Amino acid sequence: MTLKHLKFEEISDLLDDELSNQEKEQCLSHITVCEVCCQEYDSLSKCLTLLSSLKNECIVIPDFSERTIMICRSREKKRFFLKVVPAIAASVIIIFGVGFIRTGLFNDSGSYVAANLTGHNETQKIIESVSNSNGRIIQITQAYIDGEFDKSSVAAIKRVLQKNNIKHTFIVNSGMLVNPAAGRMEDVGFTPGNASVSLNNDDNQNYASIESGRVRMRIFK
Amino acid sequence: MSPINDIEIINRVIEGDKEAFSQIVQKYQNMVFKYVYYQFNNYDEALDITQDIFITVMEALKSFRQESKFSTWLYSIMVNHCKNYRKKMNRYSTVSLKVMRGEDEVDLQLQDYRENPEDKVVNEDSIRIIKEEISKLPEDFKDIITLRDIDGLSYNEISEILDINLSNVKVRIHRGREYLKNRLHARGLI
Repeated sequence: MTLKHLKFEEISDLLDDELSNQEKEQCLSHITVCEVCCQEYDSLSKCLTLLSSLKNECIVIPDFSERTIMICRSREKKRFFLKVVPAIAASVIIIFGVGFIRTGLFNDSGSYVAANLTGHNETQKIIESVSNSNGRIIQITQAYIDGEFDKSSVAAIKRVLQKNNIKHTFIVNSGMLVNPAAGRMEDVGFTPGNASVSLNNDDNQNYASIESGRVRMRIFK
Repeated sequence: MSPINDIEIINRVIEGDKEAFSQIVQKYQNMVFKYVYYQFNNYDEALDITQDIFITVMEALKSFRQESKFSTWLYSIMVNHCKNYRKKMNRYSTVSLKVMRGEDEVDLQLQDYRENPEDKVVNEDSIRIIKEEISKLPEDFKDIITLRDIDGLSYNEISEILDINLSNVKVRIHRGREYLKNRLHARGLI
C-alpha cells in the first residue's frame, strides 16, 4: 500500500481497466484506506456513469433516413445531369461539325459557308444554277458567291446569270498555290480576270483552269 | 448488427441499391446526431449536420477501402465534418438576437417546443447539467469525451478516428475527465 495519493490519471486508468493487475491491486488497496482518493474515485465514477447514461438516450428523428436517401438521390441526379448535358452538347457539336465538313459546307480552303444565306432569293437562284451545272459552291459571303463547275457548263451558267442580270467574273487564281521560286505553298488570294466585273461579257474567257476541265467563277449578289 | 452486415449493406449500396443505405442511417443516426448535438448544442443545427454527414458518407462509400471497421470510418468522417463546420462557422461573427423594448435592449429567447426524448429520462436535472457542461468543454476535450465516455469507443479506435497517437489520446481523456469532473462538482452534481 502506498501512502501517496493517487494521481488522477491512475484513477481514470483504473476505471478504464487500463492498469496491470499489480497496479490495479495497489490502487484499490490505497483507495480502501485513503478517504481523499476514495472520494476522487467515487466522483469520477459517478461522472462516467452520467456520461454513459447519455449513450442510451434514443433521439427519434422522424423520417430521417428517408429524407437523407431522398437528398442523396436528388444530388446524384443533379450530378448526372451536370456530367451528361455537357457531354451530349459536345457530342452534338462534334457530330454536326463532322457532318458539315463531310457535306462540303466547308470548302477546300477552309472557308466557312454561311448556310443561312440560302434563304435569300437571289442567293438561292445562284446556288441552284451552280448545282444544276454539275458545280459546287466554294464560298458564300455577303457580297458574292464563288462557285466551281465544268467548262462545259459555262455557257448554261452564263445564260442563267445574264437572264437574271447578275454580275459575275471568272477567278484566275484562288487559295494556295505552289510558288516555285520560294519552293513552298503560298496564299495567292483572289485574282479576278481582266474584265473583273462583267455583265453579259462573252469575251471574258481569260480564266485559268483550276484543275483540268474546271473553272471558278465569282458571282456578285 | 455485426460489422459483416455493415459491409454487406455497403456492397449493396455500391452496386446501386441506394435504399439499403437507410439501414446504415437508422443504425448510426442516433450516435452521429448525439455527437453532433454535444458539439454544437443546437437541435436544428445538429440535425442538418447529421444529414450532411450521412450524405457525405453515402457519396464517399466507394472510397471506403474496408481496411478498418465501417463505424471507425464513419466516425472519422463525422469528426472531420464537425471540425470543418466549426471552422466555417468561426469565420462568421455571431449576432445575438436582440429586440428593443422601449429604450432597453432585451435578449430574444427562442423556445424549442418540440418534444425531446431526453425529457423522459428520470434524472432530468442531472442530464441537463451534464449536457450543458459537455457543450462548454474545450473542443479538444469535447470530441474525445464524447467518443470515449458516451459512445464507448476504445483508445485505439479514437486514435484512428482523431488521427492522434495513443498516448495523446490517454492524456486528452484524463484532462477532459478531470475538467468535466471539476465542473460537475462545482455545480453540485457529484
